Amino acid sequence: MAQDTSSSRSGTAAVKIELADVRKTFTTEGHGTLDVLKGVTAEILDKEFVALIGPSGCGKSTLLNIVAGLLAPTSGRVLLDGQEVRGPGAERGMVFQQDAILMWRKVLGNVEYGLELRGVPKEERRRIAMEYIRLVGLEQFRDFFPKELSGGMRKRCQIAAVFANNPEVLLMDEPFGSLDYPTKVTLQEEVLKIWAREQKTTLFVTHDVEEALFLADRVFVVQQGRIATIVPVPFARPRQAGIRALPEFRDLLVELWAYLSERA
Amino acid sequence: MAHLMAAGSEPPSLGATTASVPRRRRIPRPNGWQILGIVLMLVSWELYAWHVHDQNPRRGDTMFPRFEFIATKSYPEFATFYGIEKGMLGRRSNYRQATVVLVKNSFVTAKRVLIGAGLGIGLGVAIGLMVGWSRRAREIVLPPILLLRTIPILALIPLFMFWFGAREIGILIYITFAVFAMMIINTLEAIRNVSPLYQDYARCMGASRFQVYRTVVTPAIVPALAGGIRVILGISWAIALAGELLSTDRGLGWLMILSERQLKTGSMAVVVALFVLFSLIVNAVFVRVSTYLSRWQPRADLT
Repeated sequence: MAQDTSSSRSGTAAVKIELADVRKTFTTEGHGTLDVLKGVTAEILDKEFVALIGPSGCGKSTLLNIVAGLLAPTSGRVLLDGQEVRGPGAERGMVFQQDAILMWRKVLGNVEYGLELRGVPKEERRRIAMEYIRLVGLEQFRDFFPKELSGGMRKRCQIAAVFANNPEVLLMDEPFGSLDYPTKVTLQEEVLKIWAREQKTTLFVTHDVEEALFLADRVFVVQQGRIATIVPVPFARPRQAGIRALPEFRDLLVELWAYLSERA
Repeated sequence: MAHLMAAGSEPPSLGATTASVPRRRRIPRPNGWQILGIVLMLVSWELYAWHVHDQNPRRGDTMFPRFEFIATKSYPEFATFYGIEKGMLGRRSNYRQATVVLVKNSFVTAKRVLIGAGLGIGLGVAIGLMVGWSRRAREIVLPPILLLRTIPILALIPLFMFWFGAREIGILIYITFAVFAMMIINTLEAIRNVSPLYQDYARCMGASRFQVYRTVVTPAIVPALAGGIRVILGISWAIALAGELLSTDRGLGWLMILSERQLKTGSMAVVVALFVLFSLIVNAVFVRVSTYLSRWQPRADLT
């Protein structure tokens, strides 16, 4: 279960998550059945950052929910370190699109939440929580309720809470979808900063191609319930905000846009 | 302000935020217009009472008492019941003895309301939480409760009279039962309305089913419960009054029924005024408590 964090990224090619012909069919009321995932097979390597992009309704969020264990696949399997996923677990941390934050807990209480569930002693969990609160720049707001924070700060709090729980795999479901552009860009950089430090296998769902290219090692394009293509992102890390202006970046952007726009 | 705060990469200063976010919610006081509404209502009463009085100077105050009549005639007449528990009668009209009678009986009723409502709320929340915990328990417990709820609570008074007579335990059980029936529905409804997002989030953080219940469901329903309790506390005064009207020998409801039997409209008005006063006090206290408990909730405007 424990992950060897000392090994370098380039040296390990171990498969962290394996998707084996994952299918999901929803039964709708009065409209028959809906095949949202039509057989997704893929491997995500240890410590790899993979972005899932695709037009809305393509099944990317469904896929993420299946990996999280919140949904069960109709058929096929999701393997984490060779073990089949059956239900949610703390080793797969999820940052939700909506404000998944406990409104009755202050920032500190929210970031301590996962550690509290595991019975980490009070001083220890305070120390860990404060570390992540500082990392996302919320130390002045530790005693604020979520309703007193801006949307961007609430998102920071969520990210701190999920990271403080030290998951092996990070699942992010359009986490910045509802934020304004400057906030979004700032948070993308912060996520990369923390990710570089923690080196967690990450699955990041977005419909924002630019975001996917800026963050990911590989981009999976999901179309009509299948992975249509996989695009490796060649840019070296650490990445600066300015790489968005590189011609190579723009070329990839245009290439991926083409996938998103064609809907049959 | 919030927008700028969110956009900047640097966290904003503490001072700027505390200034823009009111951390403590003040309980609003009634403004002049709201007071005017109350004054208009009282003035209408008085005008109509004078009209009735002019039409029928001998019996007018019996049918529709003027304020002066209530204060100088009806109120002191409660002295009649002074010492009734020792089998005696007080003076025909005396302010001091009347006040003692009213205060004593108010205490009797207030005690019944607080004990009955307290037990009913406590049991309703506790059993609601236990039942909400398991689908099977819900399936077994909910139908009888829904069935019981359809019984008009007032229709049970004869039954309670038959079972308990004028004994104190009878009215306590009556209030407790009525409050419990409302509270358990309120609790189950609140549990059902907890956002599934919270539960998904907690499960992804590693919470067990029991932990989800303890750390998500229970705190999340507090504002909904507080809202329900506020309404139920108000109703519980009416339930206590109804119970006392029919089956006790003490309390404000009992004073009410005695006044009614003697055609003392003014005395009834005094008792009603006391009920209004106590309901307002309990409500004011509870709004403070529930505002505090719901302070984390966006838009928790309790007035």
